[in-house]
This record gives sequence, structure tokens and C-alpha cells, in this order.
Amino acid sequence: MNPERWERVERLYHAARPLSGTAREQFLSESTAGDAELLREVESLLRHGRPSSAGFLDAPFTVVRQVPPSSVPTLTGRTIESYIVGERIGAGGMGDVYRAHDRRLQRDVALKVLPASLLGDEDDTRRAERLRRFEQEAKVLAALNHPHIVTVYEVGLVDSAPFIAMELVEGKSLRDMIQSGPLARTEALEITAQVARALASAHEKGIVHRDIKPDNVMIRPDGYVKVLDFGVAMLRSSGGDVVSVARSGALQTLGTSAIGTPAYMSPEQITGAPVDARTDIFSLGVLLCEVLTRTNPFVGSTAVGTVMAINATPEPAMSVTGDLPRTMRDVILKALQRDPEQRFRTATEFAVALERQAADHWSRRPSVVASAVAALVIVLLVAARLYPRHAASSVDSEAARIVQSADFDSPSRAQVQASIRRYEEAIRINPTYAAAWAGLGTAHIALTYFGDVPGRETLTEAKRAAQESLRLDPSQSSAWRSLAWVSHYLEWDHPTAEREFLKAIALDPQEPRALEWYTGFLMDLGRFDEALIYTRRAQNAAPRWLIPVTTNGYIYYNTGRFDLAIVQYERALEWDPNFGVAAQQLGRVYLAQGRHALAIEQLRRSTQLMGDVPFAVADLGYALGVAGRRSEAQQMLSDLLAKRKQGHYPAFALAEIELGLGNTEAALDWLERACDEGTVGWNLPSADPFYNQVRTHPRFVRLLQRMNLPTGKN
Amino acid sequence: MAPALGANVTALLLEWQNGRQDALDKILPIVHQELRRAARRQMAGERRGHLLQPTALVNEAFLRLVDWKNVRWQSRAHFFAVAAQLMRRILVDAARNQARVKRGGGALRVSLSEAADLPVQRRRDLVALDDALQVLDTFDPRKRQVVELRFFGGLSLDEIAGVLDVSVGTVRRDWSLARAWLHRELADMPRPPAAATAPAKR
Repeated sequence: MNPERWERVERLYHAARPLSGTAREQFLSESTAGDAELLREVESLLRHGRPSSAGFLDAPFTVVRQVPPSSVPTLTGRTIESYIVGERIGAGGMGDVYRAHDRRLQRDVALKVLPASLLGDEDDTRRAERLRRFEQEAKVLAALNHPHIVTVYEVGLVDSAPFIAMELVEGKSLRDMIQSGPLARTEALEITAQVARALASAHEKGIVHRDIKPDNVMIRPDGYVKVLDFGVAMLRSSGGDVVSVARSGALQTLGTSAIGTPAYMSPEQITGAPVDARTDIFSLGVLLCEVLTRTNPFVGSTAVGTVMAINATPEPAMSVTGDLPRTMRDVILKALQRDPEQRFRTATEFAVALERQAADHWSRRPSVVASAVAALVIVLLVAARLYPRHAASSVDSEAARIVQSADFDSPSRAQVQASIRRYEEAIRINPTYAAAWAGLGTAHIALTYFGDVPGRETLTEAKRAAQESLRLDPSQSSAWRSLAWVSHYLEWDHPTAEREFLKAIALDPQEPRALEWYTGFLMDLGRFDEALIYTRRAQNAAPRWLIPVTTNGYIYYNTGRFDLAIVQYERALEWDPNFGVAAQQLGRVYLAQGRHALAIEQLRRSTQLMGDVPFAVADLGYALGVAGRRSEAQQMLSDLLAKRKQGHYPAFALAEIELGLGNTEAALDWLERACDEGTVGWNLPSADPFYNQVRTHPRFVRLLQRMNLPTGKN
Repeated sequence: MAPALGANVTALLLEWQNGRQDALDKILPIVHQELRRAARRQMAGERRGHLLQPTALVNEAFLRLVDWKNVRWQSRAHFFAVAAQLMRRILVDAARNQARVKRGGGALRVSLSEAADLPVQRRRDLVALDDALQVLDTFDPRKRQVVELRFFGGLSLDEIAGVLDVSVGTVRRDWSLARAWLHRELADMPRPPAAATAPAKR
């Protein structure tokens, strides 16, 4: 086509495009003035230029990468060192992953086989040197010990390809989760926070992940997060150079090739500049943006757009986070700052910000307070926030007002008693007010914790109120929950308790207290795996509430996983340094580890924070005895005996202190009395490791049988 | 990549802008090599079934090669113009090569075709597009460039306007007509008849 004619075509094309129908026909026939070829040309271009005639030009070119499945021979069925290789469970550029069984240690592992080219193709001496370095790096990785990091067991060689044996994680990747549907915001924030915690731990050891993305984050069925491939990006070499890290704590980058996944890479990583821990913070920021919005701010954006964004401000993130609350966007934007100095300084700082967000997101729920007992009691009471079903009459609104005022933020013993009076007043105004009855039941359970009335009395009151509530309205979830509590802790009818708990949960599946209480029940029965699931559900339902976090720790404590327990308690204390329950249970863990001084310090602090509630005092007394500070323990014992003579002090506390002093028979005397009284401690004795020393004692076994509890050691 | 290289490309871009044509000759192989390396990296790191985005490669090459904090807009524009053109060349070469040989050997195949087998249809489209663009270039080189920047460089219309130093309206009109023309050319392109590969019936 000659340019002059093309110019005419172009003019006519643009002039005719806005026109349609006969107007266009008329215009074209007039302006082509009998040039039939020109007319055909313009008409055909208009036809092919219709927006509806979509073609492959309409989006920038992409190709789906297809790796022939047969390209890598399978290892399934082979035995490599002590591993029997099972099915292939993953594949990728970084190598294939198999499920395998370690015959030596009788455990299942994941076996990741990396490309042989990782070690380079040169002469044997250099390969040997690379292998030596690879093993050295793997040792650094194996030293990473954090509950949210997949543990590396060992490395080795198979057919001259290096492999890594690591912890097998059941579950699905965050990528799969994002693709299968949007995540709840709190869930997204919590998952990201757990990844940040994992990063913080690795960063402390000088290890940078370098390839944080949803594919490398696994979510177990219980909601627990595991970060995969820690430092594997570091082991991997693109040009054959193994990048080195963590020499005497200092961070050092050899080689300059950018390793990672472009859409998650920090600007400094993309440009091949030296990177440090803050590159992971950037990548986690991209991940956070993606889990919250299901959009990766840097995928699909145009070339210059990405450059500009990385150059100046995280603009792409601004546009995709439009629907998020401002504070949540601020967190994302802070992580995505181009200048590493402007990002969160540490992964811990990032984690805390995320946990706050998760909590704030929940802030439309009733607020929860700082002090431990307050938190406990509010657990019991907040649930009683009432939504009257028949608010039409003025009597009902008055009752509702009274009941609402029973809901408070920093409860003490006096306040719990005041709330009981308010509920009773509401019931006097309207005796058929089911929610007030339910609230009354919960308040009576709360009273148990202060220990100045025998548990049997308050729990009997609680049961009566809950039953009345359910008689009026069988759909009162919190009344079912109270009934379950009484069935479990006072009547030891655990099958009934379980039915009632499940009924409460079915009526209000997102109500965190029912989930939390049921967790305690499961622990008492030694069903720790299920307990873990329900405590995670409680945490998801109420991210601001710290009790499930400590309960999560308590499950680990009960099952002897002390380091995992400590992580939970530290998390709770970082959030609220004055959270007494966390201090108390942390003290228990220290005690179990034989760190007596630390234990006593935490336990003493917990009694101060919680205002001398019996379960905290008892733990301190026990610890003093175990630590050999007998006279102090004795002194506490006699003080408490005096209190008991004056009014009431729960027998379980005295049992615990005697136990710490090694007075087994006296301890069992008190424990039997505690059974009669109806309060036996934080959990039932079956789930309390303090009692391990008497677990096979015939009197203790009889006691557990009396409470219909499993007698085998958990 | 050594910082010296970044400075080098940046300096070459400036020279080229100032009219030194030989500067472009020096830039081309560097960018070409970088694009291939970026492709290889992306192949190595990504999972099966993932998308390969040439536009992301262009991005990456720019970030790695150009001292982008210190270049002016015009230099960026020039870089993208060059990179998009090279990307086209790489992809089309890969497509043509794949059509001839199955696999193995050769730098281009290592970089793209080996890891990313282009489906047959994509291959044909690419080759046909390349042919059509060569024709388009003979009577309207600017439209050829608009298509390159958009399709192989992933630039938006606004960005293309910046690169070509024309108004966005002009780019929009250019794109509209070029797209229509190409669609027609590709639609009219003779396809191998199905019978040619099927055994003849008797």
C-alpha cells in the first residue's frame, strides 16, 4: 500500500467509526466518490476493528509454560539412604517433592530433589567444593527451629542431584487457598502474621528467605501456618554460584543474580543489589496485598507502571487496596516502600502491626480487656450481651437496658456481683427474658474464678439459670454453653457436656467462648489434636481475644512441646505485656523446663496482674515448693488455710501447694475435697502436668475414675 | 550484574538520544542477552503451568540494565522501544525455530522455547503477526512501533504516547487502525488446509 492511499484510508476510517447504520454507509459512499476498492478497504477495516472482534492482540503476549511431565524420571519406589520414596506430591522448577518414609527414625518426611545442575557442570573438584558448601548452608537451615518454619532434617545426594529431607506438612498452599476463594480479612491477616513471625525468627539467625510467595506458605488443616523452602532460594544458583549467607551472624551476599519470583521481588532484589531481611518484608507485603485483595499489585501491570511503582511509591498497591480500611492499607504500603529504610524495621514489627489489624478488624465485637481475670470474666460476660427478641414493650426495653449495663469492660469480683444483680433485676421486670437468664448463668460461672464461694454453689446457680433460659428459648447458645460447663466441671457427665457444647457451637458457630470452653473440655479428655483445631477456630473468631492464644500454648505445654508453647505466650505478652494468664502459663512452662527462677518471676507477676486469684496463687505456691523455697511455700499454705477458715478458699489451691512440697497424701486429701467442692483448678486434673508425679497413685486414679476421666497418662 | 553495566547502558542510551547511532548497536546485544537471561531465570523459578510474561521480562531487563534512578524519561522510553522490538525478535525466532526443530541446542531455544513450548496456534499467530508487522512497517512504521510496544512491551497507551512523543489520542487512533488492519491480515492469512496433514482417503 502506498502511504498516500493509506492516509486516505486512515482519514475515512476514523471519520466513519463513530457513525453507524445508514449514516455510515452514506458518509462512506459520498466520500469515496466511486472508488470501489477504497470503499471495500475501509469497510473491511471497520468490520475487523469492531471492539467485539476480540483477537489475540488485545492483551500483551503471554505463554503458558508447559514442562513435559516425562522430563524428570520418577524416584517413586526407590530407596535413598534411609528413605523409602513414595508418591510425588509436588513439582516445579526448583525440583520435585516426594512423600517418603524414613526407616531409621520411623517418620514420614518430604523429600525435595533439586536439579543436579545446582552443583554446576564443571570438573569434580569444583562440584565437590559446591557440595560441601551446599551441605554447610543446609546445616544453617537445619538450625532454624520455629513452629512456623518447615524443619530441614538433612541433605544428601541422589544420582548426583542434591536432595533435602524435611518435615512433611499436610494441608494446602496459600496459593491454592487464594485461588479457591476469598479469605476472610482476619484470616488473611493472621496467616500473614504467622509468616512474619517465622521470618523474624530466621532473620535473627541471619537467614533471609528471598522467595516469599503464596506458593511457599502451607496451611495445615488446623489453620497452622508453615513456611516452606526457607533459604532454598539461597541454596539455589542461577549462574552456578551458591549464594552465601550467615557467616558469624553477618549477612553477606555473594553473586549478584536476582533470585526469586519477579512479582514478589523487592526493588533491590530485582536490580540485583545486595539484599537483607527487608527484602522479605517487601515480598510479604506483596503477599499480604494478594491475600487481602486476591490481586497481586505487580502482576499484569504494565511495564512502565511497575517501574514507576517500584521507583517511587507503591502505587499499584494503592489502586488494588481501595476497598480496605485505611489502617490496613497503611500496613501494606509501609511494607511495600521502595526504600528499605522506610519499611517495617523488622519482621516482628510487621507481625505486631498485622496482629493489631486482625484485632481492630474484630473491634466491632465487644471489647476485651487487659487484665487477665478481667479477660476471663469478660469472656463469660460479654457473651451475655443481649439482643432481646421482644423489645416491643417498655418493660422489655428497660430490662434490656439493665442487662446491657451488666456488660462492662474491666470486671472485678464486685463487678461480676453487680452484673448478677442487674440480670436479676431484668428478670424481675420480665421473668420470661431468656437472654437475661442466660447472662445470669454465665455470670455465676465467672464468679467461680474468684474462689470465695464453693464452686458447687455457683455452678448450681448457673445451671438453674441456664435451664430456665432454655425453657424460655431453646436457641440461647450461651445457655447451652453454661449447661455444658456444669455438666463437665461439676457433674463429670462428659458425653452430655459434649452434646451441649456442640449444640452451643451449632447455634452460633462464630461465638468464640463456646469454642474456647469446648477446647478446655477436649484437653481434659486428652483429645489434644481436636483441642488444637478448636482453639484455632476460637482465635479466628476473636483475634483480639488473648485467651485462645494462651490456650493454644497450654495445649503445647500439656503435650510437652514447650518451645511451641513459649512462642504462643510470648505472642500474647507482646500484644499485652500485662496479660496475667500468659505470664502464669509461661511460668508453668519454665517450671517444666526446670528454669525455676524464671518460673517464679513469671508466676509472681501473674498473681499481681490477676489480683491473687486462686489458680495463679496456687501455681506460685507449687513452684516455690518445687524450687526448694519450702518456707515461702509453707507460709503461703498457712495464709491460705487461714483464709479458708474465715470464709472460703478453694481446696485445689491447697492441694497444688502440698504437691509442690512433695506431700502427696496431703495433696490428695485436698484434691478429694476439691472434688466435693466442685472446683478443681484451671482444668480438670487429667490435663494438668503438675499431677504427673501422682498420676499412677491409686488414690489419684480413683479420683480420675470418680470424675469419669481417662486414667492413662496423656 | 555489575553496577558498571547499568551505568554503561544508561550512558549509551543518552548517547543514542543525542544522535549517536552506533550507541544503539552497542545497546542491542546487552539488552538481548539480558532478556534471554531473564527468561531463563523465570523458567527456572516458576512452576509448571505458570504464565510466562515477556512484558515482565522487559521490565526486569530495564530494572537490571538501566540506572533508572538517574535517567530521564526519554531514556526510559528509548529503552522500552528497543526492548519491545527485541522481545518481538526473540519470541518470533523461538516460534520459527520450534516450527522447524523439536528441541535442543541454540541459545534462543534454551531461553524460551525449551521451557515454554509455544502451542502450535500461538506459534502460527506469532509468525503471521511478525510477517504482517513487516508489511505494516513499509507504509506506517509508527503503527508498527505502537503494536510492538503494546503487545511485546506491555506498555499502556499513555506510556506509548510518552515513548513516541505524540498525543494519547494519536496513539489510540493508531492502535485502533493497526489492530483492525492486523486482525484482517491474520484472518485472511491462508492456513494450511486440514487435509494436507491427514492421510488421503482412498
